[in-house]
Amino acid sequence: MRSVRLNFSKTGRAIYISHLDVNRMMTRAVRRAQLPMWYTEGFNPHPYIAFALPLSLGQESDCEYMDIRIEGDMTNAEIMKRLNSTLPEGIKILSVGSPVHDAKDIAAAQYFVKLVFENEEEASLFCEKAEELMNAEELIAEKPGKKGHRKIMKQVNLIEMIFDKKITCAGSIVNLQCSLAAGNSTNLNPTLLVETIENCVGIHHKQQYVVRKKLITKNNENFR
Amino acid sequence: MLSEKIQKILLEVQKPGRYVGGELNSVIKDKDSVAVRYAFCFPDTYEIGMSHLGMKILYSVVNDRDDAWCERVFAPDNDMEEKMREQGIPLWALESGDSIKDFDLIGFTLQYELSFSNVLNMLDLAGVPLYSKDRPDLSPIVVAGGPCACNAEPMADFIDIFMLGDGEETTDLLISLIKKHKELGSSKLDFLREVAQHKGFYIPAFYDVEYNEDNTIRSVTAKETAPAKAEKAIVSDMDKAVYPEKFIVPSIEVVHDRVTAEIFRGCIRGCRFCQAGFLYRPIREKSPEVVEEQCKKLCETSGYDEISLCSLSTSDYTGLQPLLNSMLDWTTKEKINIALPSLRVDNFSDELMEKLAVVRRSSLTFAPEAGTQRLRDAINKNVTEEDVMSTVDKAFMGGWTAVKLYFMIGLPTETLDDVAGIAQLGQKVVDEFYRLPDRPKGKGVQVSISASSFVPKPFTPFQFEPQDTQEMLAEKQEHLMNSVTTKKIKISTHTTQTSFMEGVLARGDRRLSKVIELAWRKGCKFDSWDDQFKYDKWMEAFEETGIDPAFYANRRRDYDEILPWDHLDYGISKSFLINENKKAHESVTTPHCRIKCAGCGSNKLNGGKCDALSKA
Repeated sequence: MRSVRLNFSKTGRAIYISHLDVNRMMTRAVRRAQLPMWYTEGFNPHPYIAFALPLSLGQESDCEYMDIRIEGDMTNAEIMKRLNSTLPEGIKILSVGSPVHDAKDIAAAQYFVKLVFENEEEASLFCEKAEELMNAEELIAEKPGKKGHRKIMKQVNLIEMIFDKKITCAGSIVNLQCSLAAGNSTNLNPTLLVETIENCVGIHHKQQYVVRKKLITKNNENFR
Repeated sequence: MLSEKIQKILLEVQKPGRYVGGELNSVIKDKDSVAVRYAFCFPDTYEIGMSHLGMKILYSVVNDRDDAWCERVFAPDNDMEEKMREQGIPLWALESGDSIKDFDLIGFTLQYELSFSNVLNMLDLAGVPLYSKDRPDLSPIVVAGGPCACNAEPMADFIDIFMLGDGEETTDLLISLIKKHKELGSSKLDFLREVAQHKGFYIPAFYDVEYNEDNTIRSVTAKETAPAKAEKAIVSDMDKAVYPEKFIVPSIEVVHDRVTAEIFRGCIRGCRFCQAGFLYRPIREKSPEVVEEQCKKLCETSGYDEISLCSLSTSDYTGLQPLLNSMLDWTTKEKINIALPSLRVDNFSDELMEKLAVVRRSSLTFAPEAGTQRLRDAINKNVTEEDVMSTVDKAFMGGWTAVKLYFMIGLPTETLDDVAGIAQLGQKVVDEFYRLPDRPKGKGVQVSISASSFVPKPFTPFQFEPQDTQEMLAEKQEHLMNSVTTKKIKISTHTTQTSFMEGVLARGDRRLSKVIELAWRKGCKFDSWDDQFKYDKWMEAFEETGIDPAFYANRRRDYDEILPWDHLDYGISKSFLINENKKAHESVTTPHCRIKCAGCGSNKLNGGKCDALSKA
């Protein structure tokens, strides 16, 4: 039995499939591809499949990672070929290899966010204010959290979770490139960042595209 | 493929995966290279519609042709509907993202009466006029099939063509006919005239209905090219019937998400309450080899790890044992679970149970239907208390500790004693568990009793019977609750209001079209969802149209009354139904079709052939 890490992309209509449903879809895909999967033992045997970091509904990504365990000696190239011939529109395996990092090592994720505003004025105003807000000491947002078993709204400072950012404006479009905290302990969704800035500025985009480009480990390496 | 407008609203609604298509094995064609575009509409949400086998079959039938493209359409949930209306986005088909208004055929499957209002809502969302008479052109033609087409009269004013019976061959024919008439540049009337001449089609506009003073039907007269009685279509050889090699695999979770294999059509039992048992006659079995081959193929192309062997009464399939034996060889190896819905308590063997528990243990549900032997005899559910007990014995010994029992209340001839009998039977099952020395240890027993309310349906021996009033049903439900004395029995019942509406629509006539329209205008939709059903609005609609719903639900019909569906021919003769009705009132049973042919008449549809006799 060996562990295999698959890097896949999620684009087009597939962005509307939730993380849970991607899991289910992959369980079926490995069956269709007839990969020699290793099954968990016990009452309800199922193939071992684990994902590095869930992706929010509606976001594109080039950096989704899934680990599987296989028996026997099927090559990585064969695994990739078989899976790609049976995946639905918008899901594509980009590479297959052995896991290098642990999913726990993930510290950040890089995103491209494109925001379309009503007009040029709104876009440039947003751009200017966002720059200011993201360079301040504090940018407070409310996130749902837990206190014991109770569900509460927690106040969090987003600045601590923004590692890098670059914002540009072209016509009525704003492009934001950013590295945000990601992983099990702290995680910042770019839509929350945008929403918080927009609430401060008082203008809202017409349309938003989010692409996750890269996962980065705590040693500042690309997650592999 | 989805327009920007649609994409924009997708992230503002719950479960957007329902509206985007793109699932594995969905069929994409070039719209300019097909002659006919068909929108197959399921008048409920994606999760429910995608569980429906008929859609999968007909999707293949149409898409196997190079000249036609079938796409799927479901009822958008309320949040989506609101966005669509707000943004002026008409209802689209999942595959192309195109508005269905410009399709040639818009087909609805009518699986339950309480989806009728959704049909109107979907037509409206598509921007298609509701009434057949307001659609003068050759396209779109609005068609409807499914079990409720057997009494389609309440929907008669909205639908151009009803498709009666099995749809595999008639759908194919319909595509050819519309293609031909489009090429000829025919009028809608010319097209309908030709369609009416073929078996399996019913064009309601070609029949004039007159009424008596007492609101019963005086006459139904065929005109144009329509036959006096429109006959249902059947597929005569199940081995040769179209069956998909691929199922669309939904990307989001749906209700029944697995391989479904149909093993036979029809039912040998003749339970008098059961509409499906009569509608799908005569019996036609698929051979085990064909079933197995289809299952194998479907598992390969879908990646599913569960197969459901589907029919009206799976343990009556003559090939069940050889089929299971052969299939378990590969399903066990590939960790595929086989589910057998619709088992009967009188032929559930030890061997069968062992086979069921091989990969994963599924739940066990049995349907005694009535609480006392007398009533079970009256409804012709040929099951005894000993059958029930010996089955639960096997289940408990096999390690099950929870069983579900299905019953109905409001059955013809039922008394309060019969109702109390349900609780008593449940109690006996509980007692049986504790009597068994080998019962599963460390766990209590759980008996879940579901008591739904009986609704008399067309083409059954009970089509003449009055449905219990809501007051009577409520009293019986309460009596049932009071008759249970242990927490080990859980009872669930249905709301009497929905059963009443179902009863009205099931045996309604075409005067109800205007009631359905009015109720829809008042906001009725998703009537089968308890949390969305608006009883008061329906009652207002009856009031304002001056129509008495009790006339349809709670009235006994004379045997010689002309019923709204009498001009449809489902093979079952009325005299057979009358005879069965009489026997019910005498609590006399009719043996199942393999013991003795009961002479229902349906074999005439298949050249005298019925697998209940040939495979007895």
